[in-house]
Amino acid sequence: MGGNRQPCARRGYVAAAAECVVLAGVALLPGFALAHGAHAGDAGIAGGFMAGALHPLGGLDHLLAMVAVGIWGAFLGAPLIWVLPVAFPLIMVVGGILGVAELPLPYVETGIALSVLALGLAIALAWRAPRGLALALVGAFAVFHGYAHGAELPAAAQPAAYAAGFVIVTGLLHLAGIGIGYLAGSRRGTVALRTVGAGIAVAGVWILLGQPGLA
Amino acid sequence: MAAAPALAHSPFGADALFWEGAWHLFLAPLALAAVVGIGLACAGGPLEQEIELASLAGLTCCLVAWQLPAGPVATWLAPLSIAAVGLGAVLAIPPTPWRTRPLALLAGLGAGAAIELDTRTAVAAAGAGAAMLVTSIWMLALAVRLQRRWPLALRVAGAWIVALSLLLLALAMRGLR
Repeated sequence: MGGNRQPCARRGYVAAAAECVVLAGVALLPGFALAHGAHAGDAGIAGGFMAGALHPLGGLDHLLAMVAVGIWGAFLGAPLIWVLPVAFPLIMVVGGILGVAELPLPYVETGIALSVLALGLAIALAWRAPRGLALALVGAFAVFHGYAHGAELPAAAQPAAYAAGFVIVTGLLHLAGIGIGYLAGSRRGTVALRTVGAGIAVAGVWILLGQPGLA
Repeated sequence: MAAAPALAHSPFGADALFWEGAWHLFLAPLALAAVVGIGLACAGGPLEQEIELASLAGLTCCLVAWQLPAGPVATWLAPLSIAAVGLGAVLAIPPTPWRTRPLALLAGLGAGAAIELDTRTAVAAAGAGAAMLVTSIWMLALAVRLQRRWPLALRVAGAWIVALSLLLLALAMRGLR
């Protein structure tokens, strides 16, 4: 029975992931619609949306941290499997508002690099942190990520469209992380996840050192 | 088949204002967030209830888009009401009629306030309301399927509706859009 259940569950997650993509597709509608809109400057809105959507994918630090939050949440199990990815954006918006208001926040880039390193280590070491501590850690990192996004918003050509783009894609990255995190259900999967976590931690060190060898 | 060419040139089909109003729902990120939000927060009840909720959201959207002038009230009302809808999804409120009706009302309120119609007429507002009704039904149907397979995805997506609404509120307060 157990053997039958797993493929069904996998099909369920694949279908659910496909529905998430449809959901995001609906949310992406303004981008496409505006590209052919009748309003002046609409192409700029579509461009702003796409710039925002591509931003979390273009920056390795944001991408790894978002996926790592989802993986670690899945690793820690209920209720943190959903509490961490839900708490992240809610606390991130505080940092975002600080960034939009152009209030100073020191060591933002360092904080973001540290978030990649710490989350990678937490996965690699299979650290079962207490709920409060896990939440506090992820919340602190969320403020740095939010600030970085928020500080870029006023400079964006179309801030609202930019915000919509990065919010949607970041949410999808969290869900991707949770999806990957379901591998923790098996022994081999746990080993694979811990290896991925070690890779993320190494990337965190590389980002912390200023990404040597890239330029 | 014979009816199609005739209807294509009827006064209804030629009423650009109605379609312009309907299209506006898809041009405002916050209005679209309201549509996704109603699906995330209110899915799971019987079909009649979902149709009622979508109708309530559509009607509210129509009235607000028609009657609420652009200005500080609309600027605050749209993100705050949509953030409340997102919060409903985060809390995974049971889909009983008396818990989901206020959320549908808020979604319609937020969408109507976020839509900035070029010409604030009853016909254009009716177009926006109709688009809200139809897309809400689609989103509710889609979210029900997602809820059965991956319920926590609804909570996560709800959190992002809240985050987007509050960020757009912060931008609006700085006079940016």
